[in-house]
Amino acid sequence: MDIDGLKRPFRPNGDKNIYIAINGKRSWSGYNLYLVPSRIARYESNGIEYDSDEVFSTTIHETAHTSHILIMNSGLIQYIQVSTLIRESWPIAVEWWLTKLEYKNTRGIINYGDYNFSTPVQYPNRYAYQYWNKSISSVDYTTMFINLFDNHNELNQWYGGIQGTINDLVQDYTFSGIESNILVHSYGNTSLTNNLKNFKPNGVTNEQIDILMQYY
Amino acid sequence: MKEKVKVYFLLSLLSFSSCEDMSSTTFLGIVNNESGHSIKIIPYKEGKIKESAIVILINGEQYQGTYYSERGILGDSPLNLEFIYDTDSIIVTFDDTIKAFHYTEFNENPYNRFYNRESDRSLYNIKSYEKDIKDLSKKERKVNYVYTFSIDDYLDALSVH
Repeated sequence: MDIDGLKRPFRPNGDKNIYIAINGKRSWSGYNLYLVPSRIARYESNGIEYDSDEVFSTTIHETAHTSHILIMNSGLIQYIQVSTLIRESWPIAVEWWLTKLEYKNTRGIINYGDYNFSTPVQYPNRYAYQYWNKSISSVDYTTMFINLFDNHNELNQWYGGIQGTINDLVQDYTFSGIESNILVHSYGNTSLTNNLKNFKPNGVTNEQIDILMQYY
Repeated sequence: MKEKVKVYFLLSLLSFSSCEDMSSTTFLGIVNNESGHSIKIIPYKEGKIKESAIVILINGEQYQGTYYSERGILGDSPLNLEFIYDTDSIIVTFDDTIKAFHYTEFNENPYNRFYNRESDRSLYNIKSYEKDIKDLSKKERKVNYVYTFSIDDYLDALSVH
């Protein structure tokens, strides 16, 4: 599978990542405790069964948590000092991008994960999550890293009846670049913003980064 | 010392045990016809009718979309009504004669009532829907979006007919 230059989560002693499929209703779609196998649920708490792309997406999300822990210099000890917003927004971006690569590029669903992908799948894959804003959505599961990467400004655009409110003028960061240079030294919005400015792509200004980051 | 390390490690684990929101919100779109007339909702994409998404309601009837669920306790989520997604315009007819147009792109229609997306009567605008929120528990929320066609909608369409 193409993971676009991201690091695979090889554990220190060569241990494998293990996932357990939960054949039952849960109020979560997946969770990761790092030292024990990740859980991925089959049904939502209301009995609705997740589609296979949603299960795929959740599995990527949990795996991205493990990768994030492993790239921190002291692993878990440093990871727990990272803000919940960064800890959750990073896997949101990775699951969006890798699920899109798989379902659009490999399996051929023409606009999967794009800004006009309206099929009702779990966020972040529907409308590329561009309808997210702090007042209506989860405050930790944000579009922060998606917006650093994409070249789409959602401000005033429409997504299933909701108008985008974030003025996203930033683009062209790569996920592998963020993972290698930025994430490893970022614990909260201040350190993240400084690191983003230190490693910004050509054409992106500090002012544009500040404008984007004020929404999170 | 070993015990201390164990306790610290356990605390560390617990501190990020919830890496997914352990809660969910279920959304449902509903359309009520209280206009006193029969209505037909006909969605279009690029000039072609999306047949599978046509909705016909006699007066007093209700249409429900399909349930849609998201992680977390949320305020809003995109509308999950089939006549909304993957369409670019909708014609609503009252008694198969009086028409109202709902557009996603800015448009003007001097011969019929029309609503652009910013309108609070547009089927494409979540603000046109009354929001009914029920918190079933701390971990479970239900949100219904309800659009109600009233006699005023009929009269409004009739006035430009």
